[in-house]
Amino acid sequence: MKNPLWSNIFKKKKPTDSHVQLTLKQVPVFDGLSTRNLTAIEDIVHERHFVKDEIIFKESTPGLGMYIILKGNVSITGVTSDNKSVEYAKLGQGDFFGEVSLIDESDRSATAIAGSDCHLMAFFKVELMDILTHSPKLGNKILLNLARVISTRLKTTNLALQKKSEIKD
Amino acid sequence: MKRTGLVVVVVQNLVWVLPLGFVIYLWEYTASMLFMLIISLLLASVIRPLVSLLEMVIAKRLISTIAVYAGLFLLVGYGLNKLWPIVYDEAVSIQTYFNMETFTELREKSEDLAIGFLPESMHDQTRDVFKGFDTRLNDIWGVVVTNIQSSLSHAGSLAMSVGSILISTLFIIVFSFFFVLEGHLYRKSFVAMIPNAYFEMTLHIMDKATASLGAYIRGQLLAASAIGILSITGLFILQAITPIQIPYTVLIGTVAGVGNLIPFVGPVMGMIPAIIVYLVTEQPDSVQFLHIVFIILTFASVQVLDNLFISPMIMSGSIGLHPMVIIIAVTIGGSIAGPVGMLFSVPILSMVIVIVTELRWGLRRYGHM
Repeated sequence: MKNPLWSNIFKKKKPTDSHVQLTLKQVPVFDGLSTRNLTAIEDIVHERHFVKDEIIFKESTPGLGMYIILKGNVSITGVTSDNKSVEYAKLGQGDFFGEVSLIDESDRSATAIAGSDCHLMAFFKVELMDILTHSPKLGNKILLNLARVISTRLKTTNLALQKKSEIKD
Repeated sequence: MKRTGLVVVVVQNLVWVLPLGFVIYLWEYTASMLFMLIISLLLASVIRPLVSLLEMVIAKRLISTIAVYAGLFLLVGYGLNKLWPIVYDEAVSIQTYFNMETFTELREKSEDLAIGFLPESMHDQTRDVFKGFDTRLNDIWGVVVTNIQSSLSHAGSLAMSVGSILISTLFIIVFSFFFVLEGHLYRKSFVAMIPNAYFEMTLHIMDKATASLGAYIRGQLLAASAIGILSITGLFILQAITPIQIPYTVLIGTVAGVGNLIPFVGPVMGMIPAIIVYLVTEQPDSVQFLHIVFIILTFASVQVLDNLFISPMIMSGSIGLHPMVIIIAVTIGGSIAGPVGMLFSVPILSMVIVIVTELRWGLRRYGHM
């Protein structure tokens, strides 16, 4: 991470393909972004390390944005109506979660727990809004990608529900 | 928390615990610098939206920041060049204007006014009251002069212990420039030190508090400027349409604008000096009670305009402080830093309330309370 106290602000930054950028390229939300754009994203995202079983975020807390897994795996869990804990998904390197919070004001719909020691990257709504203000072209690209991701997930959910109802019938 | 996790948290937090310890240990030397940093942060929160607006057009943060600062320098420089000599001359002139003789004149004219206004049966009592006041005037004047001098020296020692006003101002401008330019990087570096359990909550609170504080400060500045301009305009109109003469109009309007930072007390802070100046100034006509009513009406109109149009439009973030809380805050502010402390006590208290409210909200919503 660039240290604002010691780095030279006037020095020209050279875009390079770091580990973070290589992972960002795999994330559909950042699909089609140039290396320069990805460098800008890398500058604003927050990198966090979680130990195994540590809670990343809890269900019903305010959602700030999405997380991208750089290393390790994450369990997305929830509680059913009969108070049983259930694992909705297990995500690995390059996967992302919590993206709905980038556009939605509502609380987190599930709990995310580190399945192993993991290295995550957090991209939050405030940063997205900042990009939309300062660099609308880049912001619109991200928003369009985000809409694609959410619509794909909606289609997949619809298909799964359809299959379930067909099996019931 | 696991032992390794605890060690990580302790090591991570040394980055800010050590400098904080250093700052507290050398408080005598670091206090003024901390004070300037806080002022710079507040100034940055006022300037940041302007830079963001320009950045939408230019798309370069550095150029936008330099352009906004250059523009503000020109604007403030031009304003000071035009307005400062007037305010400065009026301030110097008013100091020589208020002496023992002027106070005696003020007492005499107030006595004449009161006698003209009150029924005849109360004239003797009124004269006695003013006679008693006359004997104590010397003592009161002495206390006033001592208080003003000690207040000014208090305020000066707090804000200007680093050096002159010029150097402090320069520091504040440079700090605020970097806060505007690289604020997001400082924010990122700060958040990197927060333990995972409080990470999202801290970010959320910081963003909400920054937005609320920025809006509050911008609102207060805009409201104060509007009140100042309206008061000056009102007094000029009053002097144009009536025989009333009120010198120091710009100074009185400025005091009214700045005084607006204190709720309830603010509106009176412009009106009382205007009435006093009216009473002690040689008027073309004799001093009349109706003229004082006109002056009161002028400032009341400014308040009505403020309450009906300016404040709702600016949404200066009145956070509904109880009058008693305001009195306590103003008194404590006054004893800490004199008139400057009195002026800034309510805005500072409002900022603390905003931060505490957001902190409580965050702790509750994230299940830490």
